[in-house]
Amino acid sequence: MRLSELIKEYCLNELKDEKIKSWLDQKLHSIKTDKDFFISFALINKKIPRGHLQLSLSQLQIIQLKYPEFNIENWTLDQLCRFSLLIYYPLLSVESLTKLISVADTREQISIFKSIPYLENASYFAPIVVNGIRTNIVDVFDAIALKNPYPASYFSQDEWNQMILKAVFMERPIYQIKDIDQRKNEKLAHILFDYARERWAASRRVTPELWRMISGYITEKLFVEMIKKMAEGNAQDQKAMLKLIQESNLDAAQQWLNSQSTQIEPISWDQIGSDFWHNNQALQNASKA
Amino acid sequence: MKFIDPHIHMTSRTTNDYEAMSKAGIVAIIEPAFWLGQPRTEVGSFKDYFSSIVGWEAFRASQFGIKHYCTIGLNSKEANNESLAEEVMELLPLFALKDNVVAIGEIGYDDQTAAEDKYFRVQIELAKELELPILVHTPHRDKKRGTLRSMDVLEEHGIDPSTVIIDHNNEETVESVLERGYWTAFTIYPNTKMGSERMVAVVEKYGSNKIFIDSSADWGVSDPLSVPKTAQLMLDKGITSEIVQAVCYQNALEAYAQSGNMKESDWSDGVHFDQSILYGGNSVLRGQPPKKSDDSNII
Ligand SMILES: [Zn+2]
Repeated sequence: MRLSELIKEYCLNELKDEKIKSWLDQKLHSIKTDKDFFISFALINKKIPRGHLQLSLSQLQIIQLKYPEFNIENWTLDQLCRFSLLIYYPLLSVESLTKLISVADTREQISIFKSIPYLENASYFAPIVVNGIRTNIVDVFDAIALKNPYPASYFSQDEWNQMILKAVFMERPIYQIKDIDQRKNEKLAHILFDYARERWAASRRVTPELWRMISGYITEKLFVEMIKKMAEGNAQDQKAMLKLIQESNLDAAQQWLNSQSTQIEPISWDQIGSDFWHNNQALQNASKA
Repeated sequence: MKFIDPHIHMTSRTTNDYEAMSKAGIVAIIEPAFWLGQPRTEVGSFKDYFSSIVGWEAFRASQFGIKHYCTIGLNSKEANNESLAEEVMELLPLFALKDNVVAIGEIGYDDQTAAEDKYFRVQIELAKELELPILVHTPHRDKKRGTLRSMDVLEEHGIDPSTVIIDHNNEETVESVLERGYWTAFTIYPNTKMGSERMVAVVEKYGSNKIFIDSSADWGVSDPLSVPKTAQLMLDKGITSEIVQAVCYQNALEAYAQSGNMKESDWSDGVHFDQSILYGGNSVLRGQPPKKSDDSNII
């Protein structure tokens, strides 16, 4: 079954109100013009409940098996219904989507950016998604940058690097970015190291996840600089720097490692990122309480 | 005490205002679409303005723990540019259906011209179709006649007064607006027009039924703390806290909750911007205040 058919089936299945169900079903098949499309898309706000999906185990398994990239657990019902409108609309052009985004509220923008990777003509929309990264609204940024396969597939190196730098700057969870290791590059490593220097100059910390993207590109000079900062860092920073050193082919790094007497516990980059993220969330909740 | 400011133009205000409002106990605000102090000449300016009050401004407010709503409409002043007004009418349904929109407004009369009348009526019909409350701006000049005419027109279109907020009332208009069953809002302006003292007298005379207050703070001389300040004055003058609560919180909530888009649970557990955690709150830097917006403009 095509993804569009599957999504339609799942949406209709979730809608308990018969009137709303037949409204969506009818719209999916009848929309022919942008005007009708825009209004129907906007009406989701009013008509569709916002909760999480109530999938059965078999529904979950079917979609995970057929479309492993499509992480349905990340979708709310209203988002999924917007996606179904987008994927069903046969004429969705760059021009139409640009206009749709220009009149979209935050929930709608989130839905749109989550949907784009799964549209048939996904590659056409790269400039729209790159522009989307310019947002200052965190949830919209997250919808593009986190758990979304689009940037890794379609962004140029510079666009990718801009997104990563902005994600670091906005303190987003880097480990949730798809293909973060595959798209590492030397230019990014240097940009991020410069960023770290700026932060250090202002007596500020950098996320330990930064080292994940510098790993593999460390030079003798950067290594010396990093080691100096290591003592000032906390346990999370040190774990990440150690991991970078372990992964490095640099002679200086290997020598330094050999000179250490303590055993280094193995840890994954994802674990470093997730520990850091959850630790910060907990601190933030504590300060709010 | 918690407050709602049901009429304030935050796009013209600073983060200092947001901080002060939050500190004073304002938990929710409504930003009516209005003019910007000078007329717009392109429909795109309206589009971007509407877009900012359904998205960006709500995000900005959320960083200060304030829940932001808006109303969508073409204001009466700009209704006089008819070719532009036509284009704006096309945009309205797209924005009026958004998540944080609690009414069509502010609409009504300014100079009471034929064009104003035309677009007032068109937008009343839109509100009817979308089942949204209506926020009516009453004119600053010839206020009494303008107010009565607004109510006549609404009733001509079969609108139920209990779904309409008539704003910027004064001692001259309050009686007939209340009598006809409309939500009766007062703007507390510093120095001029309705001041806090006069408002206390209005509440002493008319009680709290269907009455609420707002600041209408905008790009002009105005005070975003009008609501909490007036509340304090009322308490000082011996008005009961139940009445103050009704006039400074509950009544506005009831009026706009009719949209289906505003409810107390939106802010009672703190304002979260959609599903993720506030930006900046999870700062790597302990004890840094949240970074606010613009400095994150990298791209
Ligand atoms: Zn106003």
